[in-house]
Amino acid sequence: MGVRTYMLSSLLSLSAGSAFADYTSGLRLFNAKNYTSSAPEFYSAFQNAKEKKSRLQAALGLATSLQRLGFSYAATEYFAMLVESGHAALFREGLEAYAAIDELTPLSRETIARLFKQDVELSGVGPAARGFFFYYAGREYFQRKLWRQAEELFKQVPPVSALFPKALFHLGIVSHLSGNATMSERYFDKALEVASTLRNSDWFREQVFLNLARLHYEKQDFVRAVEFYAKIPRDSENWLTAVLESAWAFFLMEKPNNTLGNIHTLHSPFFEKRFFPESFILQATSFLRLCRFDRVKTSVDEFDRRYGPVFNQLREVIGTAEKNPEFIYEIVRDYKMQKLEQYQEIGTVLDALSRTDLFKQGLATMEKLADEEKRLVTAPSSWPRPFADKLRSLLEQKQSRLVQDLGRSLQEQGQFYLRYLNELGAQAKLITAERLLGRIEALRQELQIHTTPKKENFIGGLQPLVLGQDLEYWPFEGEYWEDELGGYVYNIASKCRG
Amino acid sequence: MLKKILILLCLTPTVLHGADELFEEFEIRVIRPRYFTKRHRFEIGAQFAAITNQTFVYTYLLAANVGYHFSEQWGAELVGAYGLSLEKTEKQILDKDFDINTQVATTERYYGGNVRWTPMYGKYQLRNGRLIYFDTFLSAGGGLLGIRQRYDHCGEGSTRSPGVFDYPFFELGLGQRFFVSQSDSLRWDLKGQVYTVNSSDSACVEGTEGENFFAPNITLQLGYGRFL
Repeated sequence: MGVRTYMLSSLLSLSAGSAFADYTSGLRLFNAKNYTSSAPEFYSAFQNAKEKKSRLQAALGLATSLQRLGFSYAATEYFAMLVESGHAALFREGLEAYAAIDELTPLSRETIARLFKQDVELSGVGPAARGFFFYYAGREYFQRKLWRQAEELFKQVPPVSALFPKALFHLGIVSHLSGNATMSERYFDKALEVASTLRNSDWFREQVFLNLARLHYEKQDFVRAVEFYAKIPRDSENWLTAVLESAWAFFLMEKPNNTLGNIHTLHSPFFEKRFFPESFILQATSFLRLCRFDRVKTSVDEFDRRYGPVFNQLREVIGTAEKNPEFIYEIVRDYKMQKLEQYQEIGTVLDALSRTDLFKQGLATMEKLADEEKRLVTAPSSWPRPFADKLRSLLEQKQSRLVQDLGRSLQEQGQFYLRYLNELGAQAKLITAERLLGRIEALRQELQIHTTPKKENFIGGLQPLVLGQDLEYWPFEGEYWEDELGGYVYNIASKCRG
Repeated sequence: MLKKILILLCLTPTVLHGADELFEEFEIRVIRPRYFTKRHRFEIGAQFAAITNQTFVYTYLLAANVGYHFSEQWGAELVGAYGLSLEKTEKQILDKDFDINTQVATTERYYGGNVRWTPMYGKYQLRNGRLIYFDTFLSAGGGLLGIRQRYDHCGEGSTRSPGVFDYPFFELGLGQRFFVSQSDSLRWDLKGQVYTVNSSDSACVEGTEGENFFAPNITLQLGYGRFL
């Protein structure tokens, strides 16, 4: 409604000529809710307008018509022009339209980031777009690791905004990174309170639980950390991460049987294709601590067997992707679609990349862009060819930019995995040389593990033992049962002397 | 379909040091809260029962039970059943074609109690991945069993009229519960009931001296149980 009001009130500012005729025709059709016909009229006005303001008004009509026809991504191109125009009222209209589109179909980072490449007068941000603007502006600073600026922006997201829980979540992370654990916990708690307003609230809650677990882990409150890890449900994508991280918590609580139990889950055939190389190092370290040297060797050998072949191929893929980011996007996409026949050695890494939020969101956006492009094929015959071609070209450009953007991010993530594997490889060598034992002792002293509550007992599934509780026991005899995953506990004693 | 059974030969310990003694020969175990707990819960249920070892009649009964579980392994139950009997074709042929009236005593009801011991707890996995937990129990008990004497075999001169006689019985049983939720179960029981009958009760002339003998019923029960 706001857009239409603005167009009507500013009609007189258009210059005379064909652009004016097209615009008035477009406006008439728009008011009659005939968006299919108004869109090409506005496009014609946009193309023919000589003055900037006239072009922007036509762009507003075109973008709104496209949005109402369901071509949201194509519309963002024209809404972005309004935001970038520097014209206060149009800025506001464009931003609010962006916010409305994002609420229905979350936009890609690339599409949103362009809005923040200019100086913005904050007073020009209307109430309907405040949440959208401050949250994503905060995200931009967050990505650049400018915590203070990010925090200031996140704090301005109003509670009525759909993005308020996410802003609280980011405030929690920023506080954590700034060393204020108490404030961080408070923000996370608040985020949980309002999580139900989100569309994907379960996923969001899990992210908060993971961060609360990490917060308590850093505070060396391992029991609390495990409590939060236990809140991640088994069917969640985050569950294996929780299993691995809680294995570390058990390790630092000096509960190697629980640590090894968790690792037993990670090494089950169900998760053979998952990327958890650290689990072998933690397993070897746990056995080392129990003076089970034959087992240490087995764990290190298994790490070498599984991840040894990864190094060279991953290095090669990352090198190629550095010059051609599209390449890594394509192989990760093909892996996800089970069409990839090459690069078997780095299957676990590709799997990890395909499970990143970044990739999943990117792929979802690609699908939406492709969907809009597909719908253009069946566009109304009344649409002039140049108009349909222009929209197609816009969507293709967006896809191409997104692929490049995603490819670069995947390449960076791949590089991180390579560094990570190198570090783990170095640790594996140290373990083999039995020198890590000294390090563990040093770590134990550094973390003052003796101060942690050793009396706390845990059963499988990260659950503390409750006195009087009825338990069930299933011996593991080589057969993995899906329902038992996450519930394993080892039953071995230390062979260390003294 | 996979099957796995865990045999609990002793009382389930409720603390971890006790658990360590269980399956201590296994290096890796799953320890987790029990899916279905019976301890200190009442169980009510209804069953359809059929006596399977009768030559000339079919006997069907509807049974109801109320039980209480003292622990995961031990429980007690009160049960009552009432039903009817139908003649098999063989009896009708003998009667019509050969003029042979067979002597038939049919079970009409029983009520009593039993003690249950549940030594086994296990799980099945269906093809779709769904797990079905079950337990296997043994029962022993007794009560009164009502036998209807029909005197079909007595001639016209008989002074006896059909009636129900209650006899004491004892029983041994075997059964399984399949837990379909954390409150509901489907179950089957196979019971061997032995009761003492006095032959004078089936004699065609009232007051005839008789002697006691044992008679068996093998009963198959299928039903539903709800835990409260």
